[in-house]
Amino acid sequence: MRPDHVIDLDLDPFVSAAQLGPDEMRRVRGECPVARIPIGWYVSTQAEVLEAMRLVDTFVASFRAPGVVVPEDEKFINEIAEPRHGRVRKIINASVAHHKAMLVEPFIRKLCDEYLDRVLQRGEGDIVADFAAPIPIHVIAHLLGVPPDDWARFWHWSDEVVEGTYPTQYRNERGEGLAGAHPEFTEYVDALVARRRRDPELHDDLLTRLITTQIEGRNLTDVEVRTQVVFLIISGNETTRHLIANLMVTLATRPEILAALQADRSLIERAVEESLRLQPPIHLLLRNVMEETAALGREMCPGDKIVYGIASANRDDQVHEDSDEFRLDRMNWRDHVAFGGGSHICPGSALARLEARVALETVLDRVATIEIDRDWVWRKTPVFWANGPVDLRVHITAR
Amino acid sequence: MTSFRIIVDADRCEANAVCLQVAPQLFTIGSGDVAEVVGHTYDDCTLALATEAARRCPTGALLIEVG
Repeated sequence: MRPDHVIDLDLDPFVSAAQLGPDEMRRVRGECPVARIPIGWYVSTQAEVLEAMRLVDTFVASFRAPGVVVPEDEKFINEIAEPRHGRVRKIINASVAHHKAMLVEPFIRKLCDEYLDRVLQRGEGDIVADFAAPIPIHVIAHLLGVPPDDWARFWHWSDEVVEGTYPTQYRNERGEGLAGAHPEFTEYVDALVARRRRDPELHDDLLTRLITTQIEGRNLTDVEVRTQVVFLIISGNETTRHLIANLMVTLATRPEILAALQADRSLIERAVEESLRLQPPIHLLLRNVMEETAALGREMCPGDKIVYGIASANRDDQVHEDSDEFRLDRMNWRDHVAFGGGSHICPGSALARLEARVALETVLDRVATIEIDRDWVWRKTPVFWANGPVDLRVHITAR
Repeated sequence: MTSFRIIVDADRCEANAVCLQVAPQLFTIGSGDVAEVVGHTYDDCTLALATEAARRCPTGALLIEVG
């Protein structure tokens, strides 16, 4: 499965529009599972992606552009090397993993109902802006303890960071670091942290745990707390929005799938997984090669970037037959890498799945028909690593 | 009936709670943010679930000892 000849692929992962289509992915998987690209390597098959994901010390996560160096205290959780990564991660897991995510289900259900109400009252709307986007941002704000009055500002700042150059360049036209590039958001998060430092004993949320948990004999600094908070906002906001939106595109364009789900609710979990597989909200992951290695049968050097082609690995014909098709009858429907794998698997996966399930249940409970506006065309989000539509104009009727 | 034991490596466990998703009847996350075994039925079906939980554990913190 590792042909000796290495193909050169003209792929720039940082350019949102420069994505491989399904046919191109299939060709690359067949010809060269680990191909050369100008900034390093592109891994396209599921077995190779899973193997690479296990090598967490050789390939360390980074969405930064080549050459961009970030100070330790502004490294997002996914960029922190082991063993510290695991220690910080445990704090996050303790607030968002499966056992804690389930506690916010009633909150999510209420949000879904309220936002769907507004679209149903008008009979039409933009499912992204009116439904898919507000749910995850409010859930993450809720988990962090952000007051409801501040949610709108919080949403705006979150989008601003994700769509700007700070996550890749560590700077934008306004300045360097989060404080330089996004001073208003920084000030807000810093104030949130400062407030919580005054009375941590009164709370048991994620922010409090980030502040009070000791790692390697000390608490996280204000900047370290702020960095992880911002990362959670980015990752919880942009991704789950696309998961919900992509599911809704499927419901609106595939009436037989909508009908199947309405007839049999036990298929909902499969529908969420199949959407994750076929339209992963994060269609690629980026890693820095940390040392010379012959892993994956290639000679890689420090400074190379390695791209995990999540979208391609999920369509691997060695794993799934008829792999470009959305199907609810797969035996191995959990076998995808939409949330990554190994010890760095997405800590928010249970929360994302829960939000998607509740959003889907709400729509199935209350919506009879969904029709896409005839002028609507699928336009990808400008965020290069993300995969979802910028909008979804629909006409809907209530059950 | 196969007898087996589930061992949680508390140092490795990072409370990803994947075991809870796979086998909610067998695991909980305790107050120390570490997985704990709660189930008491040890049949073949439970063994299969426990094995799947161990396989999917992101940090390899679960060990199943059969026999």
